[in-house]
Amino acid sequence: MSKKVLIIEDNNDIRENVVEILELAGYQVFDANNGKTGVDLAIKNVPDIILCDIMMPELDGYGVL
Amino acid sequence: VKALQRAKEEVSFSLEKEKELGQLKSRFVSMASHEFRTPLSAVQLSASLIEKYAQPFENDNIRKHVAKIKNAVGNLTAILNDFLSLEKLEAGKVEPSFTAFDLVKLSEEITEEMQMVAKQNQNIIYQHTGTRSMVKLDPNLLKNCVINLIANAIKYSGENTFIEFNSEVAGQQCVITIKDNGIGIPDGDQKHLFEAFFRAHNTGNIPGTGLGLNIVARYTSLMNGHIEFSSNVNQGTIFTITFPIS
Repeated sequence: MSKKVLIIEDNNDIRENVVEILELAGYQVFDANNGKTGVDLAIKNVPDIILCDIMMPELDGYGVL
Repeated sequence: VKALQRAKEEVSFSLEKEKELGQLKSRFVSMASHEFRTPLSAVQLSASLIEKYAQPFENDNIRKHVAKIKNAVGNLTAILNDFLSLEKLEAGKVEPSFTAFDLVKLSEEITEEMQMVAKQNQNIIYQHTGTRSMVKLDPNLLKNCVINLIANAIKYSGENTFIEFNSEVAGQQCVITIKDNGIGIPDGDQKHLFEAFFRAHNTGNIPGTGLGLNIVARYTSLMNGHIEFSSNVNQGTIFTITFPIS
């Protein structure tokens, strides 16, 4: 089974690109554009690793931790 | 007396003004650097994706242009990183955190990393002298210094050359040298070499901001070390950084 990655990043271009690269590399990817949605997704899907930006609206990276 | 009073007020007024301008400049530089980096990362990532989707390259021009985009973005990012480092240094925000680490291990990692960005048949040769290899310095600052010096050696020397990277831990000292067979630094330029934005006259169209060595020198002195070099035009340059170790 492929590993699950959650990416939390508010910049659309960056987020979409990283998601694409990870999907091409065979990972199952979830993404969120702010910390709050990110935390919800993390609870729902329990990813193997979370890549998180720091400066974000709603809830920042430190808040996510 | 009145004139003196007035002059005094004027001086303190312009000092205030100067301080304000300095702060404004700091804020501008760090804001601009951050805001520039995000779109640049997007460009870089998209270029990588294009490269991936275009494989196998039916048209060699695709590969060529993707390489150009990546290279240009890499250069810009390096410039922005230098600006940010300098800004942090000027604001006194860089505090070395001394930790004990294995110098040989760090150096081997750097050598491997830099070999990948070296020119064709440019070989980086690393050697360590001495039985000890543990040092207590700031590994991040040191890594930054060494990478900067090796990157310069790569940049200012041609293909088919050797870059010698040596480290030595002996007595109370740790010495690191990086030697190239590059274009060298003209005598007249040598005394200005560590000044911010200064570049030697023989650099021609080789890209650079003149900030790298200024940053290296400041990081080195933050770790209580000192930097020196000797160089001959068209023969090469050797940089030496020395740190006291307890």
